[in-house]
Amino acid sequence: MRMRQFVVPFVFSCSLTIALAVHATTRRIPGISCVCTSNCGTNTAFSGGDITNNSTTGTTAISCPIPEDSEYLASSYISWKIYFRDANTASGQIIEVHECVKYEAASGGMCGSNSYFSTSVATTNYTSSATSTLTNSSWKQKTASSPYITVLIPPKNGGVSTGTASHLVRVDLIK
Amino acid sequence: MSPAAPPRPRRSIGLVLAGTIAGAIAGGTVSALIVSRLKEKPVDSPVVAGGHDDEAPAAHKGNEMARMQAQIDKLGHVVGQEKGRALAQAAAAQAPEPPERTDKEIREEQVRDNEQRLAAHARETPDPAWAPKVAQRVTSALKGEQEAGKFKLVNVDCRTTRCVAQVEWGSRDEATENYTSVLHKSYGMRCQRSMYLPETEQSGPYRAQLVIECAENGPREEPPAE
Repeated sequence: MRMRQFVVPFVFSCSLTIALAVHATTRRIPGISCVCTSNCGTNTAFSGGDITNNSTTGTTAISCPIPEDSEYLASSYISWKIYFRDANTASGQIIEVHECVKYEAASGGMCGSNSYFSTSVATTNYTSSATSTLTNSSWKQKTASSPYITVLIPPKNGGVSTGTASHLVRVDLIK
Repeated sequence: MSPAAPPRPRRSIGLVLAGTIAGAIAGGTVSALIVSRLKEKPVDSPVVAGGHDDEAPAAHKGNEMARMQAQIDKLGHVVGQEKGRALAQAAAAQAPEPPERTDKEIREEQVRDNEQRLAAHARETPDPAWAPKVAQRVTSALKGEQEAGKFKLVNVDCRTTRCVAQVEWGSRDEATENYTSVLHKSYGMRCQRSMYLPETEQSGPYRAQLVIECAENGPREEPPAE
């Protein structure tokens, strides 16, 4: 009986603390909140909250803003996880991710060396994912700048009407 | 008369409280371990790709086990470290915030950074095993982007670990609108790239430089897996 009086609150309190700590560390950016920054035109489309590239020839660059406030500075994130569908199996037609910043008070920007290249095989999974640790991120190097993440989405695999488009589903930021 | 035993409810409350506090401490320690484990991932394996079930490759799992063992060994020190961290955070909270920098100061820093990058590139001597191959890759990527990015590629100069690509737009406004097509272009390399667009009073054609910097002791060129 006494044992139970100790163990039950112990387990409850321990689980609650871990759950709160883990829950508070992730911030989600849905694909729909991102914008196309190059090769846009009619290529970019929204599909059920995802952002897709409908072109059959060109790669589209999508940029997602990294939200920052007094609690969440971009430099305090320790990793990100991206959810995507890489539908193009052709050589070199891959999803590519870079951490970038736009310079404050000046024109220009920088993308750090920390980046991700998918492999051209992921046609069976609707959503694949990749995690990157922010070890050498431009978000940590440049404090006076606006951080964002850039995702290059390859063209459709196949024809205009029959081809399968690659998607950016969302990006999770982990603090 | 025998001494009176303490009332049972008080003892029960004490046990519940002790359990709650011990649980919170244990939970905090485990959470701190998770966070420190994430922070201590090595630089050379920054990205883990997985399928729908987020499975990591087998080799990565082996490394993961070794790292977890190391973390368990550190368990005894974590509580002390957490106390130190809390004290440091409290001290930082009381420290005065650094004065906010003006736009002018920020711009000056951007100019300095850009000049340092260009100077570092200029100091390098071309590596015949690396420079021509990478220059060709960058040239090809930028030529394919010229129409969409509304620029003209002037030249590409690669040395030992760095490349500078000079591009020209019709005006600075056009450069400001379209520079991301150069910055975000896929060059198939895990290298840093930057572009600074200095202000100018002059109208007409505007040139800017894309600086690509690869790690000196890391993979300077890493084409995507095919």
